[in-house]
Amino acid sequence: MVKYYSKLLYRFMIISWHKIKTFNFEFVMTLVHLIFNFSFVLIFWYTLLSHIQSFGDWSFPELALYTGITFVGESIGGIFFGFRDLPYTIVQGGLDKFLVRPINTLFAVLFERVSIIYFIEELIVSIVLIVTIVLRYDISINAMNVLYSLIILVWGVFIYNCLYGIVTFLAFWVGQIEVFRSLIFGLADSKQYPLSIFPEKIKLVLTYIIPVAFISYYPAVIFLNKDSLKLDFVLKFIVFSAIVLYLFKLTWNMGLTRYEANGG
Amino acid sequence: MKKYLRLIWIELRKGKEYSLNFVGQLVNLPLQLLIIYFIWKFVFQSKAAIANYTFNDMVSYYFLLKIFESAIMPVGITAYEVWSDINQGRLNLYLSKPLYYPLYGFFTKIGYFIWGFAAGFIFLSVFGLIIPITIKLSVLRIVLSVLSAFFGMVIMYALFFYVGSLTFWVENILTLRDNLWNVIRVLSGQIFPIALFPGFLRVIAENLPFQYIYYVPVSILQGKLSGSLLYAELGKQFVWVVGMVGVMVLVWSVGNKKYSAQGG
Repeated sequence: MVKYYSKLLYRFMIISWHKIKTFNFEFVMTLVHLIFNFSFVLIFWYTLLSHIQSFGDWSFPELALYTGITFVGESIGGIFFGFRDLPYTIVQGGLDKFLVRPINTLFAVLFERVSIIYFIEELIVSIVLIVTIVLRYDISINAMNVLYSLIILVWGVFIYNCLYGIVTFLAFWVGQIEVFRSLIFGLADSKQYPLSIFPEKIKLVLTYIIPVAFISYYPAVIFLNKDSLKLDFVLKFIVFSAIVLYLFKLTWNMGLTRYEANGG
Repeated sequence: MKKYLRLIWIELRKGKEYSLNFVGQLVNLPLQLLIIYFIWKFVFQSKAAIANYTFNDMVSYYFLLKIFESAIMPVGITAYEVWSDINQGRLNLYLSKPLYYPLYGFFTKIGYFIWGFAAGFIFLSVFGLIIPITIKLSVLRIVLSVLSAFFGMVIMYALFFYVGSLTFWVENILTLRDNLWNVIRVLSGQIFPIALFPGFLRVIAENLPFQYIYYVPVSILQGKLSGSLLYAELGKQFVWVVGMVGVMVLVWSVGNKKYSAQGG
């Protein structure tokens, strides 16, 4: 089973590569686009810190590192890019073609349109940025913290996107869900900023309702040794994850039974 | 000219389309502004003013920026429209009509501009009751600011028209378009008011036309630009408008000759 899906994933990657390489001009522009995305956030912090000495207890190198970690999370989250257009596919009856294929429907939905190569590029550039900052500013890190940070980041991205998926699956019942989804996940913009600047109530929302903090803040503070992993935090996260995974499976299965496409 | 004015009327009558955009905006803007509010509240805890901007100035800058974005940003669709008209051969339809294509495209965007401002100011009135910010407005500043925003829209239209017209030479321009969005984001004052930029970045921004898309119109409305400086900036903006429209006409006339539509 694993071998079969790995092979499929490899094929999707090849298709994605060919799609990008078809237009050489476009391929170069994709790289430029990536560099721009990083530059914005760095320009933001650089400009801000040219006016104030530090942003709370965050210095420029730490904030740059924070940015790198956020982008690693974003590149991993690219796997779930297919959720973006899923409401449209459901409403248009386009799910039929995935249902009749002899592969897992969700797998096919997620990977058909995703630009895997773009997200791999993003991952590589993010890692290069992190390594450069660590070396350039002589930031002390330890291997265990890096490992914990990575585990929280990967798992956080997975859970965050499952939650995004749950809201997306509501399209099986209500049709166009994009505006409502934007309302819920508009808070994701806050992932670029350390959680510590927000009031307590917002912090709770960003940790346990829309878990944005798990895809940026917590991995960063653990990576930078600004905070340690506490048992109650881990337990809460496990319980939260279990609930999200259960709801994800439930809404997907119920949604599929409700799905119908008319026409001939 | 009558036919182009008629286009504005048609676009204005597509009110339902704009009302849907407005609902989407109403949903997203409060969250974006809330995040901005908390960031700057945190920053201004340690400083009374940054580059002549108080906390109230800063929050109202972003607040007004969102309104101007709702009026001007839709113009960005121009690159996609030109790209798809050329690639799919739909340009034939326009070339065979007594219309000048660049002008046709521009007049269809004026509807967005008018509706965007109307929606933005309704939003300003409602949201201003919730977030405690003060904006002192005068009739003259409103008029000059709207005029500057209109010039800003022309500049934005010309930029995206250039990118769209590149389809005559290269097949895919969509990521280049995304990169143009990125350049505009940095240099038009969407990330920060340009006055806050560090030296080198400010020099670049102040010598390019991008600042006239958002930064200058918002600064006029905020009263940051006044007296002779205001009129000097409007004059420079007008010179950019004339120059860029000239280049647009040139690009169109050269590219147009390369166009061929195949099929039957």
